[in-house]
Amino acid sequence: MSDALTKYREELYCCSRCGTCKYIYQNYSDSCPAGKKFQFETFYPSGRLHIARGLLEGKIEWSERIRDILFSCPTCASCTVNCQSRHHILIVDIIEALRAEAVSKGFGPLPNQKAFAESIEKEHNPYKEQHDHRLDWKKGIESEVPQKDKASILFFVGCTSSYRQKDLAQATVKLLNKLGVDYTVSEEEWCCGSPLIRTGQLDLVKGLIEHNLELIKRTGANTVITSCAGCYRTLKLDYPHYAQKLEGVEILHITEFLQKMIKERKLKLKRLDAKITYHDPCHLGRHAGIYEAPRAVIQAIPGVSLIEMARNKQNAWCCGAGGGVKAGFKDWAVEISNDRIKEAEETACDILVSACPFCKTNLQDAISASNSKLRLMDIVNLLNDLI
Amino acid sequence: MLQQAEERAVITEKLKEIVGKEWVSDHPEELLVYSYDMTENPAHQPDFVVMPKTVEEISAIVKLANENKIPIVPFVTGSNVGGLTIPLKGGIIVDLKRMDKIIRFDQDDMYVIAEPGVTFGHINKFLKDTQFRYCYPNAPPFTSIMANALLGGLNNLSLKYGNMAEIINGIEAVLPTGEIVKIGSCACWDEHWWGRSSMPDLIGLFVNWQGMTGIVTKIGLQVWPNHPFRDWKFVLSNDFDSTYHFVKKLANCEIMNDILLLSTETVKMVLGVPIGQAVWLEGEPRWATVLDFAANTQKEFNAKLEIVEDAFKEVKKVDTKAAICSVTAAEKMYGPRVGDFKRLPFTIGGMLEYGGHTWVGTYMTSNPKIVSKGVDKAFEVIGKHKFEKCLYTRMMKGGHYWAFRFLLRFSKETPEETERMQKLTKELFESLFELGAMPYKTPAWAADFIIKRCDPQYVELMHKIKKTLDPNGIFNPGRWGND
Amino acid sequence: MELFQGPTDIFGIAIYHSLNKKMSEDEKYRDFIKSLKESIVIDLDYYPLMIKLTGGAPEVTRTIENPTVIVKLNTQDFLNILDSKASIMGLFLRGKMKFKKGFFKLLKVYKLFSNLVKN
Repeated sequence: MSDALTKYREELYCCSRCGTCKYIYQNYSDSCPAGKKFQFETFYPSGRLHIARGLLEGKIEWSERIRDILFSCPTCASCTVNCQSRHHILIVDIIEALRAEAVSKGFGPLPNQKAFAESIEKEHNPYKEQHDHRLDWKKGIESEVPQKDKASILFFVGCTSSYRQKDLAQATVKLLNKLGVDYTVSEEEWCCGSPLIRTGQLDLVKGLIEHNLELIKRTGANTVITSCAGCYRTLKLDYPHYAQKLEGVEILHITEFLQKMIKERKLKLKRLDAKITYHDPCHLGRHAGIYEAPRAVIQAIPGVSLIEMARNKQNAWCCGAGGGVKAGFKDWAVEISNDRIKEAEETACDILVSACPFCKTNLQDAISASNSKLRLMDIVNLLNDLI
Repeated sequence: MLQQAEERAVITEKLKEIVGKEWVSDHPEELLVYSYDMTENPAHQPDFVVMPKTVEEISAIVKLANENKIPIVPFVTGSNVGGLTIPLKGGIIVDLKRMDKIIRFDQDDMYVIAEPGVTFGHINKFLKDTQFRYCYPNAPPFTSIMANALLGGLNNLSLKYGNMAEIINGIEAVLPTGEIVKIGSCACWDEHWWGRSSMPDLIGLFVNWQGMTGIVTKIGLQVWPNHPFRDWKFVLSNDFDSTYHFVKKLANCEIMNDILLLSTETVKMVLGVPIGQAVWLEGEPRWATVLDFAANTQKEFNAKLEIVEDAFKEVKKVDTKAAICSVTAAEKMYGPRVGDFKRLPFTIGGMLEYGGHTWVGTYMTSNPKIVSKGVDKAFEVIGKHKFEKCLYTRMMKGGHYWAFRFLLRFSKETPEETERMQKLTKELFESLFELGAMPYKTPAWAADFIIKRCDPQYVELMHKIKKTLDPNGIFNPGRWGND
Repeated sequence: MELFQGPTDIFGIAIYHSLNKKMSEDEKYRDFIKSLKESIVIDLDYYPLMIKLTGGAPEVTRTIENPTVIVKLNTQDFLNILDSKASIMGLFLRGKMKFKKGFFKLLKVYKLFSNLVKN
C-alpha cells in the first residue's frame, strides 16, 4: 500500500458504516449521486472507505470492480458535510488517494479519463484540442484583451472557458475591462491539473503546477482570478500540496472579486426583474467554502429575487460532471444533472445561474436532454449583460 | 458458501434474470463489505448480494434459494447492533434498500405503511410538515424503521408504548417458501391496517425472529400526534437509588414521553470526548437523566412541570448536589450537539467514529434492587476489561420493564481490540442474564447461551415453528439453534 | 486524528467550549479575555475548576494552583444562571455566589461570565 494511503490508515478505521454519509443530515434528501444510482453499500462513501480497509488488510485485491466503484464518485464532497464522524473532512481526499493508488496499480482510470490525461500531456488541455488554439477565445475581441506581460491581477482562463465556453472567457474579459481592473491574461496557460488530480493521474500534475506557478510569478500578479470553480479549487487548495506556496498571491474566484467590487461600490448594475436560482458548484461551495459571495453578487442586481433550491449551499446536489464522471459515465452525468434541473424548475425561476463552466456544460446537457425550457447562465455572463 | 464456481455462476445468472443484472453482485468487494458490520461479531461472507425492487422479485429469489438450498439473509442498513445481518452460513444477502416507499399514511388511525428500506430519516422527513411524529431511538437516521420494529428496538416513546415491536399494526411478508402473506387487519382489507386484533396474532412469528421466518415487505407502524408544548430537562445527580426512584415515580405518573438515565461517561461520549477518556472523574456528577415531556396546553405543561419539579425535590433531599436544568442551559454549556435529543434522529458522532460500536442491550425487570445490582455488576465487569462505562437506560411502558444497555465503542484497527471487546460482551451479557436481563437484537453467540438455559419446551416449539415455516432451513441459519 | 480539545471533566468541557466559542464569535470579548491575567477558580459544590487566563488561549483545568480569584457557588445556581432563572449579580447580592478570594476583581469576573451565559 502506498504512502498516500497508509497516511489515511487511522481515518479508514474511523468509519463504522453508520450510513449518515448517505443522505443530507437531518434533512434526508439524497446527497450521494453514486449511492443513489448504484445503491450497493460499496458505492457509498463509507463503502469506499471499507474497500480501502479491505485492500489494506489484504482481504481483497485491486480489480476492475474496485475501479468502477472508485471512479463513479463525482467527488462532490457531500459526504464530508454530512458525515458526523471525526474523519469526515478527509473522505474526498481519501477517495482521490485511492484513485491515485488504483492508477499506479493499473486499475484506473476509466478509458475516457485516461484519454484526457493523454491530451493534457500532449496539448496541455483535456479536450483533445490543440494547444495552439487555446487563445482562440480571443477572436473578435482581440483589442479588448490586455497584452501586458505584467499586471497586479492575472485572469486564469482555464481549459473549459478556453475551449468549450469561450463566451465565458470573453464575458470575463469584458467585465474586468468595464471595472477598469489592471489585469492580464497569459498566453502560456496550461491546464490547472484538476482533471488529473481528481482521477488519480498524478504523474503530470507537478509539471503542470510548476509551469502555471512560474507564469503567475512572471506576471508579477499578486492576485489570480478565475471564473472556473474547478481551477479555483485546484489553484487555491491543491497547488500548495504539490509545490511551494506562492507567497503573496491571492487566489480569487470571480464571484469573490465581484463581491469585493460591490462592497467598494465599483459595480453599478442595470435593473433586472427576474427570479434567479443559484447552483452551488461543488468545487466552489463544499470544497472551498464559498457560498455567500455568488449570492451577494446576484442579490446586488436591482430587481432580482434570489430563490434557493431545496438543496442549496453545503447541501447542494452535484451537477454530476465532477470527479471525472462526465468523461467516465457520460449518460449518468446527465442523469445526475437532470435531478438538479428538476429542482431548479421547482423554484419557478426565470434563470438558473451557476459559477462554473463545467457545471454549466453538464447542466445545459441535461436541459437539452430533457427538453427543459429553463434558461441557464453563468454569473459572469449575467453580470456582463447588466453593467 | 457455495464451493463450485460454476454453481455460483449459474445462480448469479438466475438472480440477474429475476432482478436485472445491475442489481446482483458476486464481486469480492461487495461480498467483503456485506460480510461484517460495526460490531465485534466475526465476519462471514455471503455468496451473492441482490437488491430486489418488488415483492414478486423477492418471492422469486426465495423460491430459487429453496430449490438450491442457499441461505438467505435480509438486509437493509446492517446497523443493528447484534451482527444479525452477517450471513453465518453464507448465501444470498437480500439488500432491501431499493424498497423505500412510504406507501400510505392513515391520519385517522395514525399509522404508516412502509417498505423495508424506509429509514428513520425518511419517516422524519415525511412527517415533518404534518401534525404527527414517529418515535426514534438514538440511532443514526439511516436505520430501517421496519428492522428496528421487528427486532423490538427502543425509542423515545418507549416509556409510553414499549419497544417498537409493540407498535406494529400489520405486515406483509414473503414466507421462506415464497408465498406472500398479510397479517393483521390488512389480511382482510388492504385499506385497513389499523391493528392486530382480533384474529390469532401471527405477527409474533416475525418479531425477534431476526429474519429467520421470511422477509417482511410491508409494515404498518403507529405514529402519534405532535403536542405543541414540549420540553426537555436534564438532571445531574450522584446517588443512583434516589435517581432511579425519581425515574420510576415519574414513569408511573404517566406524564412523560421519555426518560433516559445515563452515566456521565455516556454524556462525555456524546460530547465527543475521545475514546478511552470518557471516564467518570472523582467529584463529578455520576448520573445524567434526560426528561422529555409534552402537553396540549400551557396549563397541562405547567402541571407536568410541577410534578417533575416536586419529584426532583425528593431527589434533592437525599442527594443535595443534584441539579436540574433545561436543555437550553445545556446547549449554552455544551453547544447545540447536546440538544440533538430534540432533533431525533441524529448521529452520535462520538459513539460511532472509532469504527467499532456494540452493546450489551437488554430488557429486564424494573425492580430497583435488581437494577442497582445490575449497574454495580456491569460497572465491575466493564472496568475489569478496561472499557468505558457508558450506561444508557430507559424506563419502558410506564415502568413495566427497564431497558438496560451499555454503549461500547472500540477501534477495529487491530484484531486484539475486537477480541477484547468480544470477551467483555460475553462476560457482561452472562452477568446480566443471571440477574434476569434479556438481550434484544440478540447476537448468535448470546442466543446459543440462552437456549441452553431457558425452558426446553420453548426451544422445541421455536424449532418446530421454524421447521414448519422454513423446511429447508435457509433463512438466516445459524441462529437460536436453527442450523 | 482527534478533533476534541480541552479538558474532559463534565464542567470543564462546558466552560472550555463556551469560552472558545464566544471568543471566536465576539472580537471584543476575545480581546477582553486576552487582556486578563488571572487564575479564576469556580468552586462548584461538585468540584472546583480553574480558568487560567494568561493572554493566550484560556486553559480550563481541575488542577488548582495559585488562584487569583475564587468564586464559590453551587451547581444548581450555576445552571439557574444559564436558564435565565437567576443573574450573576442577583446571586452575588443574595450571598449565593461568594468571593473567597479576589473580591475586587468582581467586575472582571462578572464581565467574563455574563457574556458567556448570554445567547
